[in-house]
Formats: sequence, structure tokens, C-alpha cells
Amino acid sequence: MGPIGLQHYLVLGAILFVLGVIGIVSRKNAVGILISIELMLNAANINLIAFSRYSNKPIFPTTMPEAAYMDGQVFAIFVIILAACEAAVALAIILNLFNMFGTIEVDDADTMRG
Amino acid sequence: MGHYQPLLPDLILAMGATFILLLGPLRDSQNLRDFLRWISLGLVAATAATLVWVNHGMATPYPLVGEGWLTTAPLHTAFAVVFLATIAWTILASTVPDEDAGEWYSMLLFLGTGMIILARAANLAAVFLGLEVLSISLYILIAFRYSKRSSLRGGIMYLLLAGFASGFLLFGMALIYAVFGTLQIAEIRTLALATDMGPMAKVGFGLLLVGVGFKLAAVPFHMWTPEVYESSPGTVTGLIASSSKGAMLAAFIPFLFLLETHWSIIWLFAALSMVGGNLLGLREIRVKRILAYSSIAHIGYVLTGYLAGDTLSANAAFLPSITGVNAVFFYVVAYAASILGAFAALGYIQGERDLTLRDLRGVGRRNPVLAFCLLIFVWSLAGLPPAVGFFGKIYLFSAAINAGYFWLPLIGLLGSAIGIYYYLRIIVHLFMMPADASDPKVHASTLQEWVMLGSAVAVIALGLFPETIFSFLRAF
Amino acid sequence: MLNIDFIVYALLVTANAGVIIGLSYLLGWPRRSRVKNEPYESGIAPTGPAHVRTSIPYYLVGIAFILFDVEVLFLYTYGIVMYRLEWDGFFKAMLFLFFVFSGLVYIWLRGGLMWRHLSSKVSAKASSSQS
Repeated sequence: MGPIGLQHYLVLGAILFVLGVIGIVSRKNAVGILISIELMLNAANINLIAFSRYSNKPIFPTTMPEAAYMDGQVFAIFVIILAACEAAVALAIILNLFNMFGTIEVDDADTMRG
Repeated sequence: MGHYQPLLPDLILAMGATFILLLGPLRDSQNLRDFLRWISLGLVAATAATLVWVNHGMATPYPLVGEGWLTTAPLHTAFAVVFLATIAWTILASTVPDEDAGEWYSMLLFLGTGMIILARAANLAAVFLGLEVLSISLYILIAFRYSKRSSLRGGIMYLLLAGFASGFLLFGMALIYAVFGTLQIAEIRTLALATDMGPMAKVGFGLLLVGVGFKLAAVPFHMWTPEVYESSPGTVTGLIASSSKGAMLAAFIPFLFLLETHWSIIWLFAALSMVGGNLLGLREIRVKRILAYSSIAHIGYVLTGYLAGDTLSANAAFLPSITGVNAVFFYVVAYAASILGAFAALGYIQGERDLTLRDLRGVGRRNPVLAFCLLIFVWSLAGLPPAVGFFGKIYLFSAAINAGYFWLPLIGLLGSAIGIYYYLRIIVHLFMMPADASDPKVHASTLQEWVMLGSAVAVIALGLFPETIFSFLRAF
Repeated sequence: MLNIDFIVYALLVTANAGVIIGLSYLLGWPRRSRVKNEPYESGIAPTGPAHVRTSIPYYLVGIAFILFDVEVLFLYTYGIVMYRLEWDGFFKAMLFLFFVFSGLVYIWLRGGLMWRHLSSKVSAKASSSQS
């Protein structure tokens, strides 16, 4: 098999991304969909960090070589934090939804006309 | 401290929003609410002034500030100022829930922060940051009336779909970063033009495009539009339709060089949106949904101008001085002026349930000022002269013709001809139908009526002097 | 060198995920028996229902905790380069902490930290919406 390299992380990222997409398409539960979205975002994160770690030489040379390697990691931190904010807002809305209707199935909330 | 200066607009707006958020819960009184309104208006004005001031004296065509995160290029700054104007308009025109005034104004200001970051982003990370700040504020604003089930439903629906879209967008960005080794949009542009792109970059740009398509609600990705537009407060609906999409368009202007090679799929998006949006609107009777479908069609028109790119073509036949991007800027201004007013007016009329065409009957007699304003906004949306929407379409389609497109402007003309039917239906129901037994309820304060009137006058005035918008753009 | 491999891998991954989910959908019908429905195969037998309703304030405080917990992530990165950034970096970190701290003040002003008050308010709202 050889040592763990960039390819392995790429495949891991791709698997997580596809699982996230499948989860969003197949689930009705709002929290389940939220988890799938987080899965997609974190799949991208894994890719970002793997590339910023492993690309000693970018496929194309850049004008600012040192900075290019850190970019991905900084971006990943921003993504983590923004995803947490999104999750907090989502959970707050879902909590209210559950308080009022007693369900968090998206389709059920859909058919309930206000 | 010199390098704080270019970030001053964003800092003022974000700190002001935080300040208002903390002031809101202190006391529950009408005086405080009025104070909060005027102070948020002042903050938006200060931000716009700082934007213009910071921008002054930058010579290079695509200057970078904030360690390469933002650009102060004239077009992007002009876009940011327009979005701030829409925020200011919304602050004045919105009906604020009594107990949550602080949160309402604060979220509007955070929405503005997201828009000006997104509009001036020079870095893929800044694009994502701006987009998420914008989206998270919008989720809260859509679900703001949290005791109403429809409002919560719209909020969670928009949240899940926008999250789905950001997932695609981010994965695309990760692949682009993998191939080019940089997040700077300008560097990506240079590298991509210099070499032939591999399949991985193509997949990356494709995923990026899917994300953008979702946010813009272009036709294959438009399903969420009617539900979300129906259930959010009127003024917020206007913001979703106009400036949140406009900010997205502004952020992706640097990527327009891809149009030549493999973003020709936008052609399909534009054509489908123009046909689909107008056809879907024909059979709808709920007014906000009609305008939601019309907004899908309008995104189609804007994408037509987008396809014309940011360069002047040599063999231009019509209006040769206007590039596609300038036409898009014009249209974003024109569309924002019309759709904000239209959705806000519907918000004043709306009662407890969904507003249908039947509910519009008698509004013309009940509140002639509001009905007249709505007439002007809808007239402009339909693209009939002398309102500003007419010139918007002319500039977009002529730019597309100059760039060598033939079918797309034709489809656009046919689409707008179809669209006139449902716009006229709104006008007919407003003025020419006898009122039902139940009187329509209109809640609009004096300030709101004045704001609507001013906005309607602006729609007509900009239509009479369309050059104003271009001279505004050139002033940066 | 990377590209074509990646495409092949991505396709394989997609197909693999699809096959696994499809197979589990086709083959895995639910078999239920008394032993199988117990939470643990060995160990302590459960007492009482598993679906305990946790109180709403717990979730609210939980959401707030997640936010503050994750926001501090920026400070780790700042910690690595703290000395190199000198006073300029310090001011930026303080600016960031100002925004985070404002969030805490907001929650406090809105009464989000008063557990007892919250539970009475939420239960009152729930009972009024049911009636």
C-alpha cells in the first residue's frame, strides 16, 4: 500500500462529500440534513488541509510561494467557524419548529399551512 | 495602523451592528426603536462614505487590500455602495416587530457587512466568508417572525438549501485551490489563462457553478424560490431577490474570463430561466409567488448580460460603449429599485394568510398612494417604458447582441412578452376589479408611504435619465 | 499525474457509496426480536424509556456553548504566532475577542443564561400553544 499520501486524503474527502450529498437527498429529518451539510463542508476542509500540507510544489508555480501553503489551512479554520454559526442558527430554528409543531421532518412542516 | 484603513467600512458596519444588538434588549420603548432606526441608517451612510473615501486615489486596475482579501476596484466598490443603499432603504421601509427591533436592525447591518465583503472579495476564502455572513443573516431575517409557522418553515428551508449550495461551492473551491495552489482570484485567472486546465480544475469550476446557480436561483436550481419568498417578511424578500443575488454576481465578475472556455453552460441557465420563470408565473394566483417566478426570469436576463463579458467588442452594433458587466450593474440597480418596492408594498397589504390576486382588489381605492407605487414598480419589472426596467433590458440585450449572441436576446424578448401578461394581471386586479366583501387591510405608516413614493419617483426618474447610473459608476 | 487518477478514484468512490447504500437497502430488511432491541448485548439492562426529553434550556445553553467553543479556534492560531505579530496582532486578537464577548453580553442581556427563568418561560409558551 505504501505510506499515506495526498491521494488517500482526496479519496476520503470525495467519499465524505458523496455521502453528504446522498444524505441530503435521501433524508427528511431537518437535523439529518444539517449533519449531511456539515459532512459536505468538512469533506472540502479535508481537501483544503491536505493540499496545503502536501503541495510542496503547487502544480502551477505561484507568485507568492510561502503564503500559498498556508492559505488552505486558514480557509479551513474559517469554514469550521462559519459552519458552527450556521449550525447554531439552524438548531435555533429547528428548536422553535419542534416547540410549535412537535416534528422536525421537513416535509411535514412543508404541508402545514400557516 | 495604515493597513486598517481599507478595512474601515467593514469594521464600522460590523461594530455598529454589534452595538445595536446590545442596545436592543436594554429597554422596550418606542423612543429606543426610533433611535435604533436612525442610528443604523447613520451607520450605513458612514460605511458608504468610508467606502468611497478609502477607494479614492487607487490607481491600479485591480488593487488588493487587507492582505489580499478584498479589492477596491471601482466596479466592485460601486456595487457595494448600491447594496448599502438597498439596506438603508429596507431599514426605512420595514415594519419592525415590537419586541425585537434591535435584532432586526442589527441583522440588516450584518447582512450589509456580508454583502460588501462578498461584492469586494478578491480571494476565494473572502467569497465564502462574505457569502456565509450574508446567508446566516438572511436565515435569521427570513425566520424572524418566529411565532408563525410559515416563517420558520421558510427559514429552515432556505437554510438547508443554501447550506447544500455552499457545500458544492466550497468543494469546488477546494479543487480549484488544489490545481492552482492559490486562493487569490487574480492569480487563478493568470494561471488559468496561461495553461490548459486539467479535468480536476474543470470539475472544480463546475461544482462552483452549481453552487452559484443555487444561490442565484437560475432554472435547474430554482425549486426553493416560491416557498421562501412567500414565507419571509416583504422587505426581506426584496433583499433576497435583489441585492443578495447581486452580491453574488459582483463576486464572480473576475471569473468571467472562463466564459470563453467552459462556462458556456451559463447560456443554458439563462435561456431556461427566461423561459421557465415566465411560464411558471402564468398560472400562479398568489402574488408573491408570481413575483418569485418573475425574479427567476430576471436572473435569466441578467445572465444574458453576464455572458457578454467585461470587454468591449470591436464590431458592436448597438450602444457600443456599454460592456456586458456595465449593463449588469445597471440592471442590478434598476431591478433592486423596482423589486424592493414591490415586495415591500405586498408586505404592507399582506394579512395573515397567503396573498392572492383576489386580495389585491380594492386596494386601489383603499390606499391609492400605495397602489399607485405598486403599479409603477410592476410596470418597471415588466420592462415597459418609461420605467427604468425598460432601459435595463435594452442595455442587457444590446450588450449580448454586441458580443455575438443572437438566440439569447430573442428568447429574452419572447420571455418578457409572455411575462407582461402576469404583470398586467396584477395591475388589473389592483385597479379595475370590484372589491370583495372583505375589505383589504393595508398597514403602512406615513414614513413608509413617503419611502415608497420616493422610490417610485426614483424608478421613473432613472428611466427618464438612464445615463445617471453610468455616471455614478464612472465616478468611482 | 494527479488528475486522471483522481477522476478514476472519484468515480470508484461514487459507485462504491451507491452500491453500499443500494445493497443495504435491498438486503437489509429489519429483523426485530426482543434481544435485538435491547440497547446493549451485554451489561446492564436498561431501566425506563430511552427517549428522555431533555429540557429546552439545555439545548439553548448547548448551542451557545458550541458557538463560543468553536470561535476560540482563532486564538489557537494566534497563539502560535503571538510573539511574531507583536502589538499589531494583539490589537487584532482583542478586536476579535470584543466581538465574541459582545455575543456573551447579548445572551446575558436577553436572559439566555438564567436556567430557571428559561424553563418556566419555555414551558409556559409550549402549554399556551397546545391549548
